[in-house]
Amino acid sequence: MKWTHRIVVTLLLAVTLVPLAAWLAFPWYLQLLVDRALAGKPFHVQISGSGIPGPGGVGFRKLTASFTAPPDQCSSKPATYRISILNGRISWNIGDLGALLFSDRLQTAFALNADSLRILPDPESFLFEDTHPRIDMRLTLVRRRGAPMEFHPERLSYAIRNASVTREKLRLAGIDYRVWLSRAGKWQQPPDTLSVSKLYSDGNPAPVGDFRALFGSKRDPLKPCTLILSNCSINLFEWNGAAERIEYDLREQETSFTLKLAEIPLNELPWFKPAGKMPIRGAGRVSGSIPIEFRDSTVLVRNALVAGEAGASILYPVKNSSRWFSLDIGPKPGSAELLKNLNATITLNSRNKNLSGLAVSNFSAELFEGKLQASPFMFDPVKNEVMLTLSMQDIRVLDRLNFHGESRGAFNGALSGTLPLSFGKKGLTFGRIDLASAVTFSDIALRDIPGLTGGSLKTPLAAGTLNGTLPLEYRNSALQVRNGMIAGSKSSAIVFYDKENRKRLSFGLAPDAGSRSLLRNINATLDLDTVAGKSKKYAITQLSAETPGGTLRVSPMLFSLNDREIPLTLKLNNIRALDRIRLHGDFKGSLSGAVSGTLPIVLGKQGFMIKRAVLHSGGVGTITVAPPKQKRSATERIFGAPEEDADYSFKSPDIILTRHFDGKTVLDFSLGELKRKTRSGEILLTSPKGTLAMWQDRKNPDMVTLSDFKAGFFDGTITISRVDYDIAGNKAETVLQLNNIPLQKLIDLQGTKKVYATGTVKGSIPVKISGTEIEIMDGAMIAESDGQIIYATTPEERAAANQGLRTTYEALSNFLYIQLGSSISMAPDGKSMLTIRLKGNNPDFQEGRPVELNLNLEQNLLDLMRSLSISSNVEQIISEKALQKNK
Amino acid sequence: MTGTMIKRTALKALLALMLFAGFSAPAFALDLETARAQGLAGEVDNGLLAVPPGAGGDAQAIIATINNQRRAEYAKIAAQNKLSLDVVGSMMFEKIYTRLPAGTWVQVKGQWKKKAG
Repeated sequence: MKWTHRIVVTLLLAVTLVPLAAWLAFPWYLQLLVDRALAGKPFHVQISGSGIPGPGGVGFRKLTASFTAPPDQCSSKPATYRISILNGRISWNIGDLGALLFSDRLQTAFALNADSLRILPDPESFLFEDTHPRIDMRLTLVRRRGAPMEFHPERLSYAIRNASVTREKLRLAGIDYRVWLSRAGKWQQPPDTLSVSKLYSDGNPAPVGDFRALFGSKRDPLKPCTLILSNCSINLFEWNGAAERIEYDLREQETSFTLKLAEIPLNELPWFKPAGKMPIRGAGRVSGSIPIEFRDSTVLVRNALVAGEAGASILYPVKNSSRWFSLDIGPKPGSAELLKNLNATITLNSRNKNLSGLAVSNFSAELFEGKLQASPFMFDPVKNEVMLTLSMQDIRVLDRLNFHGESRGAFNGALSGTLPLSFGKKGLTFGRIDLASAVTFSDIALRDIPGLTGGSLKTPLAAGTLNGTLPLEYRNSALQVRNGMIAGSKSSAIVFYDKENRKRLSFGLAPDAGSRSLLRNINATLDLDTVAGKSKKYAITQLSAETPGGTLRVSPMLFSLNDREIPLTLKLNNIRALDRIRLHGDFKGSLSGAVSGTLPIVLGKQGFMIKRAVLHSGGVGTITVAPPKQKRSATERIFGAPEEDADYSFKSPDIILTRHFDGKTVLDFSLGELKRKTRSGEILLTSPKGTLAMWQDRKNPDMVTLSDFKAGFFDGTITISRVDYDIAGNKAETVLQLNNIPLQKLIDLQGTKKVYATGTVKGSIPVKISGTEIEIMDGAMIAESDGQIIYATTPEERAAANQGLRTTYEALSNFLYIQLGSSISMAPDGKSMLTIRLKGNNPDFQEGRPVELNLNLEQNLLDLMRSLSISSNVEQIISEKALQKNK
Repeated sequence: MTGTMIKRTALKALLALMLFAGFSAPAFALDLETARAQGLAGEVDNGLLAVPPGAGGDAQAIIATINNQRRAEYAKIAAQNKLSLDVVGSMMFEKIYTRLPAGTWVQVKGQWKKKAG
């Protein structure tokens, strides 16, 4: 009993221990099991570090599997795929084990979870990596009598999430795809969307991403070796490309398809985004098609084209809505596409280790009717840098450039040259640029030119438009203009307005009889960055132009945009500028003549200053001042005073002009002559010169100060030491100093033909001007030497005169004065009092005894001056005045 | 027309008469003929006298006096004939000129020269 009991216990122990031992030994014979199960199949699986299985699964440290696909019609060589899974766990659901006892089939479900899964083909062409994969598999266990148990796979599913594929330095990241293979589906992968979110080249993101395509493993029986991708889309430089169908030839490893860029709104492109830093915006849409051929890691682009829809344009800038440039990229007659015949060869992941990334060669395109070519270039993902040289030939980009200001300005011209550039961490930088373009522009409103914009009333405004041609060349860091031309439109002018916004003076820029252009033969050389250092320096080494009649030259200069002040010296030579000046309002004038001289200007942040500009002209001019005419009746017109139009004409103006930044302006002038001509006569000032100071007081901008004025007047001189003249109120108060004025000239001025005098007078006449009124207060004049006064009368006149008057006539028939004094005052209404004191004798009268004469003339001097026939007045006045004889 | 002609002829006759009668000149240290002969005074085409170039002021006083007299006379003629002093003066110069000896300074249209013989 004890024996049997022992045996029973041992047997029982054995029954319990064997499965336990088998259980515990699982990691050791698992491999054996797998090998047996896969015997004769093209799979090989190796498991290491497996644990002791639990009731629902078993874990392992590493599982490697290899699968060899035999050569088929699509690939000549067998391909082996090595799969390695780390830290995985296979869990199962065996189902009802007991059912296996009664049935020969059992449905089981396996799930594989792991930390990572890698697939590496041999030959090594790529590496697939997935983290935390889960693969589900359904197997049917089939048991036949006398045969080992068989595993029949039913279904395999693997949802790939955020996996990556690495091929040398290229990495596709964020791969999503759902693998679903089943016996029912004849182990064909049904179509599913493959998406790749990003492409990295050597760790750096490439501008290609968001690739999506629908594909499955089912092949077209007619094209058994073609992998068909459908509904493909890709994001290329933020452009969305789409291709309905991409056929990839597995045997030749090539494909060709057309990528359609359909209706991309321009303002969605990175440079034109409304929120972007760049002041440019896009309007409208562009679309394109890019035929692509891919073979041997090489992408060939063949005759790609990009076209803008009607109205598509690029705008600059957008902030100021009143003035902007637009580059029209829509279709135009003769050039429907923006970019066409674009060809390029792009080699991916170039074999040369130094040249990883992208290599682009044979790049050429037709852009804006011209030719654009690029030197072979590489995208180096390590340096993240692209360097290439663009060469351009007759790219008519300017034909599409417009300026929207007061008028719509247009440009014309083609761009040719070479442009070496590199794009990398530092952004976009340029090498030695060599560009040439003959820029033609038309209808650019003058008011759109900085400085002529207007705004406040005191700034000069402009009218009309400009057009011209500027042949530009940029070479060796120097911008050159060769033989340029600028012309103004018919009505173009720079206009100066007065405080009340009335046109006062305009400077015409329109073509005249003498010349079609305003500036021609414009030649300029601007050297950029001539001095090394942080601040960019510019040097104008040459700037000259021909103007109507003369030349304009800017002396060479060096400046930096950071300079607070930029000095500039303009040299004017014989420029026919006076002819272009027009006067408006109460003033009318015709001026002519050329101006020469030097105009040193300093441009500052707050405006400009002029440092002693010396300008001279041999020109002449007439300015007519016609005060506003009051309506008068016919009687008034016939018997009233004549209209007071006055012509001022001058000759040979020379000026020295200084203007400070704050607007203070001092003008030293000298003229050949200045003539005032009215109906009642003319006053000639010879060689007038003086100093005009303007805008000295900000609070009183209408105040002009004339000082040190001196002019020749009737062989004598007139001087004004200082007068402050208020232009707005027409107010001034000063003293006129007269010297060496021949008495005869003053008498002639009165219009009389019967009084003759010799000798000169001097004096000072205080004058007060207020509005239209003139007042003279206690003016005094005396003779500078003795002289003669003759009042000639006929014997008949003398006979007709009374005794007193006859005596006066006789005394004045040959009066030799030794003293002559005169005082004059005139009230604003023109009423004047003229007192003349004469001391002397007449040798033919009363034996030449000394005579003293006092004459008081009281009259309206303004009326007198308006009238030519005042001699009768004088006669009458003399007749009425008492003649006092000295005893 | 004829009226003016007659008037002008009458005027010329009057001027000629005046010349023969001579100006009533006061006694001067230097008389006009001597001054003109010595080149200290010259006749100007306005009918007056002036100091010729290079001459000193020795004849200044007599020139001023004679000019005053001439002006008074011219003015009288001018008033009687409704002419200007300048016209009378230039007509007078023509008469004076014919009587001047060769070598006397004369100023015509601003230019001084000596009367040719």
